[in-house]
Amino acid sequence: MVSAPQALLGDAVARDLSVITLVQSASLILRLAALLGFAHTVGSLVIVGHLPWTILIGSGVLMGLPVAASTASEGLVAAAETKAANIVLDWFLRFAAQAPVAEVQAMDSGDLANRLSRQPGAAARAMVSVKIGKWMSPIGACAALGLMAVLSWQAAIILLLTMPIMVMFFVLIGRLTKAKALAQEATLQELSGAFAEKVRCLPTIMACGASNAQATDLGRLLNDYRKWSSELLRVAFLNSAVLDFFSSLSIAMLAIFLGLGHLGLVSFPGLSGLSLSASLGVLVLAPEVFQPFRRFSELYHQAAEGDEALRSLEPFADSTIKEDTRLPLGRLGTRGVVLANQAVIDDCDLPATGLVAVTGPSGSGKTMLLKTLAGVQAPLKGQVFRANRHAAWVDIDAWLPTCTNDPDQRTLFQKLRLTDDPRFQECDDLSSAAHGDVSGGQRVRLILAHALMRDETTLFADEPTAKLDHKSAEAVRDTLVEAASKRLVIVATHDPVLARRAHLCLRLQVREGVPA
Amino acid sequence: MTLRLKTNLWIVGLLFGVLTGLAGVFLVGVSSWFLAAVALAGLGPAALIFNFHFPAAAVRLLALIRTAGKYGERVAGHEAALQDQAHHREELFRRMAASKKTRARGWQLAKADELEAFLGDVEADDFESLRYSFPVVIALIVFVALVCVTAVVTPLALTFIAPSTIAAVFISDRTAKAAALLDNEARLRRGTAGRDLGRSLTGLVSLDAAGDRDDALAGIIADARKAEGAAVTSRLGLARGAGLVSLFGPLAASAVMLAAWWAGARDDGLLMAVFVAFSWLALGELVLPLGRHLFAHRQAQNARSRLGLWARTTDQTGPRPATIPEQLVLPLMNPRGERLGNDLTFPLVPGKPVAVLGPSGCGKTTALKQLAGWLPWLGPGDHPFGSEGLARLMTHYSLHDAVILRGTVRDNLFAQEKDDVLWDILTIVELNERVSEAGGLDAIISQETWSLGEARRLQLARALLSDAAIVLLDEPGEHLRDDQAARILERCFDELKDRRVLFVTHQHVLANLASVVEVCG
Repeated sequence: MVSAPQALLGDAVARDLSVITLVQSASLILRLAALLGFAHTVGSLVIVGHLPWTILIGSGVLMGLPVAASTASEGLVAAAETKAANIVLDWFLRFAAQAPVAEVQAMDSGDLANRLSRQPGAAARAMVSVKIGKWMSPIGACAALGLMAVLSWQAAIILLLTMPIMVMFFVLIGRLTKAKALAQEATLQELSGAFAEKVRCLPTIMACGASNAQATDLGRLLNDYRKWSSELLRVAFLNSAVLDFFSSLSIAMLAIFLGLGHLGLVSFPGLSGLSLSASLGVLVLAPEVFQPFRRFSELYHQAAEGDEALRSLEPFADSTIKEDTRLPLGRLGTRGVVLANQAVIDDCDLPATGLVAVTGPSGSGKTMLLKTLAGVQAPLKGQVFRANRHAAWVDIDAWLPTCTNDPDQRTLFQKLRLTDDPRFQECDDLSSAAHGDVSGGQRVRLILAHALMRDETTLFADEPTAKLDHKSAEAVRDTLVEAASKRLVIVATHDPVLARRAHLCLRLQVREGVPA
Repeated sequence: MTLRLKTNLWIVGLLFGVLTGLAGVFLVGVSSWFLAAVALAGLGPAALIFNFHFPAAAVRLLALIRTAGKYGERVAGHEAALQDQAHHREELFRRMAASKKTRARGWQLAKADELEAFLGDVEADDFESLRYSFPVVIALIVFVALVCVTAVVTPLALTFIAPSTIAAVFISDRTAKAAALLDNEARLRRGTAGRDLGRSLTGLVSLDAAGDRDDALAGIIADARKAEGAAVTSRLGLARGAGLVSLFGPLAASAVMLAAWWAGARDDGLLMAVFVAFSWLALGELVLPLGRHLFAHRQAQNARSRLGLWARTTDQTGPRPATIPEQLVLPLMNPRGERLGNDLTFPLVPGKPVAVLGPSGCGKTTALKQLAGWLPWLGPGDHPFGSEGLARLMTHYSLHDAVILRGTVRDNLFAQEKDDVLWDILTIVELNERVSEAGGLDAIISQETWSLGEARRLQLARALLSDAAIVLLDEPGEHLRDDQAARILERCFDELKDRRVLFVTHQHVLANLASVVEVCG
């Protein structure tokens, strides 16, 4: 079955694929023609005893042409793959930038980052090079057989007749490999993941003093993995061995038959009475009949990885888009709002400036109300009004922009007691520290400082004083109250001191909200 | 050229490979020679006395050697590579476990994207022999053999083959170099995009509320686009290089024929030239993937230099102190080693747990890490436990963000105790029911199926099962309800009454359980 990403990408690159197939077919035929040209040259030199300059120059040109054609086709492949990868990246962008926030945050961010770095390329290769490779395999075999048929259709028929036998072997060995792989799949998967798993857990292992024991265990698992996979490979490689066998055998067989024909010792129709050029031509074409099958089996792994990527891209290819349903009335407010957790919010109109505290027990929907007012999340019911100004959001996870050496920011850092830590005295030091070794409390204060640097904003702050010691919490409270003289500051908080200093307090209860 | 084909299996593989390479090249050469010889013989009376049995048998033999040899080459080569892999990985794991880099900073390899990039490096290094040294050595030996034959038959041809070889190697090397640079660029850009994506998704609410979400993500995806562009260009360069190198075989073969002709060889005199020419044609197939091999080599070099960061750190392990000092001085610093407050001085004796209470950012975790020997000691004098290396041997350091290893409960406890001991400990940390539900001590558990609170309690069980004389607990109550944390911790202290216990916390309720409370911040 064709998945949505496969269909969408397939449509987008369909034209490119046709053009590439044409150019690659041309390149292939030119290459085979060049081989025949070489065989003809050698035949002429040995038997006829002279070589016209025209043939010599012609052969030279014939050698160069397929290179030119393949260079062109590689360029087309690159362009088509770039196009496909960009479409996949468009899906990523639409999902991350426009899907409902909760939907995006439900995904593991590390996993998503990993997929961003692997899947666009894997999907593009699956839709372009792998597809072309699959198409070119039969085309390649047919082209070689076709040209051979021009020289000796009987030789071509002989090789064609070997095909079903070869395919039968492929099927047999394929089944054997699959059966073996399936029987060991779970073991192999567990063993192959052992190293990654132990590396992921390394600090825990070290902290428990188990490094040596785990390293020894890892050595044992890796050795098991080696044994299991060697056993599997021994069967899997039989597949290529069959291919090698037929390709070697065809050369040997044809060489002997053609040779006996030349000697006049036997007379096979189509194999005796050929010119040396023609029989050398048949000889050089024989391995080319089998070559495409090798390429086909090489593509197997790439194809599997690409299919996996394409399947898992399905949710991105048609992700839902978040809409801001708030009415731009110029000031924040609500009418008949029911939050996603069923909490009923009494109608309210918030002032243009001042400190508003949203309080209530855990689970009452404080953060949810903030998100709803900020337009991050839609309410279940009711209407939200929005102010015509920018907003900023402060919580422990908020995005932390890079530092600027603004004197106002410096003042804010001092006010928020960030400069107690010597690292925050210089901005350059800060940018390196900003995302790594800062504590949760320092992080919230840094984010608050950055948020306050934005002019004309409504400031949403979710638990700004949690995780802070008394002095820092007091500094944050002072800063928020001061900021509220010029803008609207809405905080969701458990902090009774902060709530007391608010100009307006919205008290939520579990399931039922009654603004005070 | 660095060759890392050390084990016997590689030698076996090389023998198979060279045999296969020679058989493949000479199969085409002998077959063509045979056809030309019989074609010439067929023109005259010589046809009747031509001994075709010998060349026909040689052709069949070469065909068989080529088939069987290729299989042997593949099996031996892969087996040797897997041996290398097992050896490399165990060695790397031991090196990482002994590296100060693992102890010092936030563990990046717990993140899926960072771990995947790291595994890519490990794999590039694991399989370098299979992807580079092995095929290149085989091609080189077959090449030299053919050069020797050519030197005897048509030495003149070498004047053309030598520069062609240099050109082929030069083109392969240049394209591999350029492709490796682009590949590295793609890797770096992907890393940046991945990290930024992770950060922006964590802060998505703030970006969305501020209306910055579109811009921030568009910038990240633009980086990812550049990465894909570089990766595609890298592959394009390799493919185009291989296209040019594909001319090598036909050109060398033509050179042989023309050189023989030029030197005046005619009729029968050309037969050996036919043999050599077609052999060169076949050798072209071995030379064709040279660019890819060199690319794999450069990738492995880059990977190794990145993996080289995991250097084994040898500590100066002084003599073990006769006694553990009863009075400890703990410095309060930020992770950069700058002072955040006055040193804490307190007694640390068995049966009297010490709490360091303070808000986040006061330097308590950094102090604990120094005491555990995970960070360089910055306090006054030598490390109180002798040295950092000894400190790691003498202490159990209970990380606040410890993880669960995919494996059995037993594996996860890192202890060789009897089952009833393990169950007792699991009961103390209130995990006995959870483990029973999961299926007992030998049930497979993983990070995904256990909550953070359960992981925290499992980590406490690990502390109880360790035999270290000093137990250091970082935020033992994290992710637990206050009452449960207090209950479990009290039982833990009772269990650890013959050991020295120090814990850091920001929860007053837990600090109150200690015999000594030190306040920071």
